[in-house]
Amino acid sequence: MANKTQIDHDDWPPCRLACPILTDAREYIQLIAERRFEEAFAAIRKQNPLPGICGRICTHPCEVSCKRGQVDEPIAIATLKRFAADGSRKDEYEAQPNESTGHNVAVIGSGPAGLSAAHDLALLGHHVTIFEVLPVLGGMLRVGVPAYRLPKDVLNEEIKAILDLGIEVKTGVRISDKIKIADLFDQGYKAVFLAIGAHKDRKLGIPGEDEFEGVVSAVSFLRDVSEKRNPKVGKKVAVVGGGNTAVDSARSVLRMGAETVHIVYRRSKDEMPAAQEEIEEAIQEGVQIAYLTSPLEILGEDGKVSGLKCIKNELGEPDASGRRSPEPVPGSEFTLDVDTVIAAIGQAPESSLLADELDLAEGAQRIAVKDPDSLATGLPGVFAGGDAVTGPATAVKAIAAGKRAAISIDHYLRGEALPKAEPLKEAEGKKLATEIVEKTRRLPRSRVQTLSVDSRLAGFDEVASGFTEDQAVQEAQRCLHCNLGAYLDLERCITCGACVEVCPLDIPSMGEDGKVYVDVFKCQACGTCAAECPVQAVSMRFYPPGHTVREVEKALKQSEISNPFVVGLFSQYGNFTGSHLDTLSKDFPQVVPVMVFGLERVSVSDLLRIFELGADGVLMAEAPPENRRFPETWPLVEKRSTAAKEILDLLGFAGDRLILYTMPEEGLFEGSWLAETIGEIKSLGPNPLRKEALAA
Amino acid sequence: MNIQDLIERTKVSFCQDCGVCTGSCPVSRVLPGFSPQQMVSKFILSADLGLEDEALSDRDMWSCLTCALCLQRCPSKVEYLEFVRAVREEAFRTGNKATFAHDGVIETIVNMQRGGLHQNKTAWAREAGQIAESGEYYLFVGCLPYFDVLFRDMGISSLDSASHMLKMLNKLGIEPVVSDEERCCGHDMLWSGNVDVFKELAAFNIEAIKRCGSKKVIFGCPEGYVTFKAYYPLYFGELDFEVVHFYDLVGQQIKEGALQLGHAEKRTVTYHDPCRLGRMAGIYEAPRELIAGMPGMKLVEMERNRENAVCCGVSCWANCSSYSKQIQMDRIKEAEATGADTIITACPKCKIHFTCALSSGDVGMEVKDLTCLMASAMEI
Repeated sequence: MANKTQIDHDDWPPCRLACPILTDAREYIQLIAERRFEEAFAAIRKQNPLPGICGRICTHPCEVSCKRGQVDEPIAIATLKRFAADGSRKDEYEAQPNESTGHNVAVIGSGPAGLSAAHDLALLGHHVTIFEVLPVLGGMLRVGVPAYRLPKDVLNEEIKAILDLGIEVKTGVRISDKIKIADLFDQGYKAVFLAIGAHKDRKLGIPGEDEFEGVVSAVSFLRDVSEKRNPKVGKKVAVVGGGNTAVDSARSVLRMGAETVHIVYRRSKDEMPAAQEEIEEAIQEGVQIAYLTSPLEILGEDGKVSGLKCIKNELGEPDASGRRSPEPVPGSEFTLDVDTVIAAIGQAPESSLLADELDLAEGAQRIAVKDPDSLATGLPGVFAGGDAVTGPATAVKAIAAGKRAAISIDHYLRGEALPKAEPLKEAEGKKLATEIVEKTRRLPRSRVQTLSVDSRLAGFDEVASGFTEDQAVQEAQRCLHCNLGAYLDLERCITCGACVEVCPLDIPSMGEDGKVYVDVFKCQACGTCAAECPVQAVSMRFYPPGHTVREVEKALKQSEISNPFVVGLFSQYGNFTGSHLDTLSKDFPQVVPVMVFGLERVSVSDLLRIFELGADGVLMAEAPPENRRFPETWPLVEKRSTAAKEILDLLGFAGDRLILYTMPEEGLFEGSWLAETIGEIKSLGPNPLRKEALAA
Repeated sequence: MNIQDLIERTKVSFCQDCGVCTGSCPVSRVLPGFSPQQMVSKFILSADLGLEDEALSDRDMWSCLTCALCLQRCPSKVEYLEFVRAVREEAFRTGNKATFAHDGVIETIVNMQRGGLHQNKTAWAREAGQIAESGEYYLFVGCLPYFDVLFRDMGISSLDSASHMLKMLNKLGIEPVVSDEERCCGHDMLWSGNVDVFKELAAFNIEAIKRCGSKKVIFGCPEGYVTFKAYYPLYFGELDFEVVHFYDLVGQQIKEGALQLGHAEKRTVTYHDPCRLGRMAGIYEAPRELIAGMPGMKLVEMERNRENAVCCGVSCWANCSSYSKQIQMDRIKEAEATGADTIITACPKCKIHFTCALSSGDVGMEVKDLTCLMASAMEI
């Protein structure tokens, strides 16, 4: 009579399903909440080779689908990733590559797609050479994203960590120029991954574009900025376009001394594709956005740009992309007084030289892929992915392509069939019931610091800081633990109704058929029902059965056992910081702290087992009332503590060894209370089982 | 111990595949694929094929209630009970353990009674009556003080029956020893394969009784009674003291007029024979005579009574599940069908299990402990 096992995807949270690389955000958020920062980093890094980058620039579709967003604000999943990736946590991480396979693979392009493919292929044991046309690595990460969003040293560190796997690099080489793809195979490469991105700006297609000085392609402008070539910009700049490239250009140009910057975008604010945060930052910095405006003609004087003639639009019927088409309003023409026009209306891959070897799509620009699952092109052994195939998209989608290509190439090199993508359950987008939202405590999202506008515009320093440790822990604790909640095994259930009675969110219900129903979607995994169920028919994926005691065992193995030794079960939801914990360990080495996510998940059995393990005393430290996630479970916690104390008394252990208390508004305990309490426990003598317990 | 030896010792190869055990087994009625005969065949086959390890990792063995119904009816006299007990012992050694209800809290409490601690569990006795530090009579209380804490929320005061026993003994002029030093009798440990802990606990108990100089040890709990009477001697040789069931002692005293069940209470009752008291200890009539002696009580028997009584659904707190609940409700409906309004139990665990099953249903029956009813009848 085994417990029910769940199918793999069934317990994937919405954040994971929304991520192009299926990041298990829930896992690393939990580790951060437990202050297990090195483990959080390892969990991220083993699956994503560019975490510090993603943590800063990802469009975070995970946050859009985060269920917490239905209560107050979504978890700051990206900033938490940045937190884990910053700092010295990564020093402990070591990748474990497989044995060498002897195969050589050529990766063309060192942007996120190329870097990810190279990383994963190297881990699989293949020997990789990256060919990069520029003298520097990183693709758009380096030459497209400005340093104030993604500092170069962060980029350099992450690239180095990837290359340290033994990946070779050849810069200044354009494949398909002197070296064709066929040549690569002649040179001994067994497979090729084309990840050349989209670095060629589309032309505006308006009169004056090629006539006057001062018309710049956004991509080449940003590249010059990143290479510190100090491109000349005027004082009055118009950036045409509405994507991140346009906003990046506008914000960069401000930092280069422009006095007025206009973004000219043909649709309205709601349709603007750039990231919301970027747009807001740009406006804060003084960028003006002209919505529903299309450029008509670039005007010039003495061979230089003197103005941009524009027309206002109205939104008409939706076009092929599903967005409403802009229709010019007759008679609404006007001229912007500018001396520079930056074109940022979309990019395409520089693929013309590949046309004789490969099929190209989309007006003979993008590389055609025959099989979107395996990313195989028409040429055997040649794969392609990222912006070169899809057109400009996001970094994380490029990483997804790189990772997929690595798997495909690995299969190809081993002579196995190319993989098909597994169909995944769609993130459901279900709404949380109003009662659940109402009963969930509101918790403000942690906010990072940003530089003042003056400081920002003085240079290209990173605008946003990351989270501090305490901020990160607090933010991570807002997570609702989607799908980690109560799974009821109907075979075990004796329909006693205990879970129905104790759930603070009123989730289990007794059906007319006498069976108990639990809607896991609503559950936040507080663990109250699991601790109350008399036959352990409810299992939590979050803190599975016996977890608390196992954590105590682990903590005991890692600590010096002093006399007396007291196990402190501290509710994570208390209002304390890392430095409070440091003080505790320094001043009270007798206390072995074990963090628990709410005392309501601790059962009477757990408490007794901790004494069976040899503790002289046990503290149950509840969060102060304003911090408790589920204050109505307090009477249960009290009842269990009372029952455990009575049983300890009967056993001759002295129930006074078990102490239930509420932490103060700030910190882990009040004043001299802990010292006195430890003294009282000491006076009760050692745990009668101690000798045997510790010998075991 | 190897499986082949065990098979021979317990005569399981005498099984004729007649199926009487399966037809009798209450678990086999609710748990698909479970039957005593299946268990036996599995082990015989595994011994032949050298697959003992696989057989020993079987989880279904923990669902057996060890109620002895099959043992009683088997035409080949297969010693099924001992077979299960010994198989569990071997399985336990390989790491196959039962899943205990209540998150294993009772197992933990019992485990904590090993070692040199001195319990503090007799306050109830000093309140209820007169006890002694040493003497001829010893009242064995076992786990009742712990059950009292754990099942209070269900409305069960497990110590009531102990208080009543003490008062009745006092009325008979007996001031028994009630000791803080006694441990759990070890019944659950013995039956869940943990024979080492069982022996530790038993050794403590024998020593505690010896130190009190007692010669007559009185039991209210059928499990304690059978464990001491039938199993302690198997491991420790003949005991130095007599093992007495409270109903035998008090029944005799009532016959001799030393105690009167005078106060009338009108109830229509049915009596549930506990497996350990009935089939294992052979005590069927003593409780019935006590019921008959209580004025106002009308006893109506369930169809399956005495040696045919069906277990209350859980043994050793192991593998309690929806199957256990079905067995319980089945038995409760059988009780209801007699027209009785009360089920009389004579075992603290039967009382707990029936009360639990009734708490979530809509059968309006009361569960009453026989000793407590007697105490009402004696107005003590």
